[in-house]
Amino acid sequence: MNTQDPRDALCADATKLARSKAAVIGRSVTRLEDGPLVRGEGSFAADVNFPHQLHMRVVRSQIAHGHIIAINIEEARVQPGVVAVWTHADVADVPPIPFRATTVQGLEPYCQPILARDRVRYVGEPIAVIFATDPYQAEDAADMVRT
Amino acid sequence: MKPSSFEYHEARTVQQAVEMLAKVCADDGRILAGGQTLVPAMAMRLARPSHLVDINRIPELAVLTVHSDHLSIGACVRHAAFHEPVVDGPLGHLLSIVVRHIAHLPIRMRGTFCGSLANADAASEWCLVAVTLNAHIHMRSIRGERSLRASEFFLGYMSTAMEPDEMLVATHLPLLPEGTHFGFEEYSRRAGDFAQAMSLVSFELRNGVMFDVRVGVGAVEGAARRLAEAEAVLESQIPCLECFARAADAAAQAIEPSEPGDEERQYKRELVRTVVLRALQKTITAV
Amino acid sequence: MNPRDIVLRINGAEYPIRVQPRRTLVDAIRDDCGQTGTHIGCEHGVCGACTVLLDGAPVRSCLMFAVQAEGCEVRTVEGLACAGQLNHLQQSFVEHHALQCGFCTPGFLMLATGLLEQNRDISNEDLLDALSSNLCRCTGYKNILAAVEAARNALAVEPSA
Repeated sequence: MNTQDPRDALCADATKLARSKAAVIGRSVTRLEDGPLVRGEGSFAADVNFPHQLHMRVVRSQIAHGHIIAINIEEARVQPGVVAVWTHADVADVPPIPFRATTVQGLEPYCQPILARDRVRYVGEPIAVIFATDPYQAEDAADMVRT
Repeated sequence: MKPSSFEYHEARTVQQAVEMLAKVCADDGRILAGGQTLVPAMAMRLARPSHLVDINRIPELAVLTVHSDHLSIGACVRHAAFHEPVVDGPLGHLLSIVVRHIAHLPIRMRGTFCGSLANADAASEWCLVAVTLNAHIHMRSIRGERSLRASEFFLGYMSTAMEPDEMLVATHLPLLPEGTHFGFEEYSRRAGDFAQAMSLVSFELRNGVMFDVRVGVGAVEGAARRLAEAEAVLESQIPCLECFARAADAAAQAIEPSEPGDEERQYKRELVRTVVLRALQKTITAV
Repeated sequence: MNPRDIVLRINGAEYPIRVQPRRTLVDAIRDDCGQTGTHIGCEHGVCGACTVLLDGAPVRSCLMFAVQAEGCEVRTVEGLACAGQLNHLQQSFVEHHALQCGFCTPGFLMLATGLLEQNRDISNEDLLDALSSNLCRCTGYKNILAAVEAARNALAVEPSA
């Protein structure tokens, strides 16, 4: 017959828990993830490798502010290895990049579209993207996009 | 950032290299040695050579030889070769001090002494050494061999007297007489950055008096050069802080900084005064 | 621009691959040979994440073309552990908390390996100078330095492995 008061059992468990926590609090604890990382076995974004995967190269604005008059992708589209070239028209249904963590309303006109539409607002703003079977060829084609 | 396409040619002898270069130089064909300057430029697509002639597998170019009066440095001798003195005496010591200022260790494992000269960057330490110590630069093409004094070889910012079909095969650096005093000072924002100003100075001391004074300054004008105005202050003088300061002043006045603005130019003059003075001080305190 | 058939020797194993001359050594190691432990940070030779050993010398594999490495011994981070056992240097990185995200770590490991193999008695000052070749965004470098110094000290008291 168990004559122990259930409240004593609870106290004993709580003490055991507190002691095990005290064993690590304030101590330098070895990380769990270091093994694979020092062996070069981490899987970073660029390490993901699927057969027949495509590589995307972004064409970016060279000027700080301007109106887009035309984007000529014809030459780029026919380069070896190129599968597709997209500009804003191809992703028009994707909403612009929203502002984070704000309750302010009415900011949509100031949000950046994922590919520039009528104007560019900074050096480096994405204007077009090239999809190709090889990253070198994607970059070759990107060089041929004219704005 | 991947390089654009090129045809790759691998030479096994200097003769093969110059023949290949003759065929491709008109089509922007370039020599590939260490690649530590060329390949980043290609990655950024600032350079798009359609042909590369790789000279890394030519045995005679990897050779560094000590002769009775000069050091012969083959075109593929890496910066790292100079980490330990390659010859007894002041020159070996000087080179082992200067080399530590070049970029970072892994760059020095591939980059070459002669490649630095061929590239002729204003901030190149070896260009300053070549000009200050009166190196002779040996080039070859299918038309034959020729050599130039360093002062004739460097024409200006990243510009040399080499013809497109010529390649550097060796640099000859005169050995420094035993007892030569030297000092080197470089100023850069961070370790491994390009120099903003640097100075190499040397002289022989005979009966307590300075002879054959050389004051070289780099990274402030299109190309490194000796400053006769500063050397004249010191020639035949007894070394002392006062004349060192006057020589540093003369150097600061003599240079024509390539910066456009007045304040930048004044800043460069101040830097030159400081690096020349410190280099001169090091000739006595010994690094 | 015709591709070339070459054989890369990485960590003692041979990889016959077909590459364009412009394919960098780091891309060949990672994509053609499947050894993704070597990372690409800047792709123009300033960050050191791509550092490998080429015939014992630490070099930036983004600044070489794969065709140039034929006939050379390439060593990467995957070759450091022995049968899954971390070596002294790797163990020291773990013990000294010398990594957080781990992206720069293979580059630092290969750089440090090259340094310690070339000079077992390398001074703290020379270590600091040489290790400043590589960039790290996470750790602030102090622990990396401590880890390499400790590994050097541990190797000094042990007989050569």
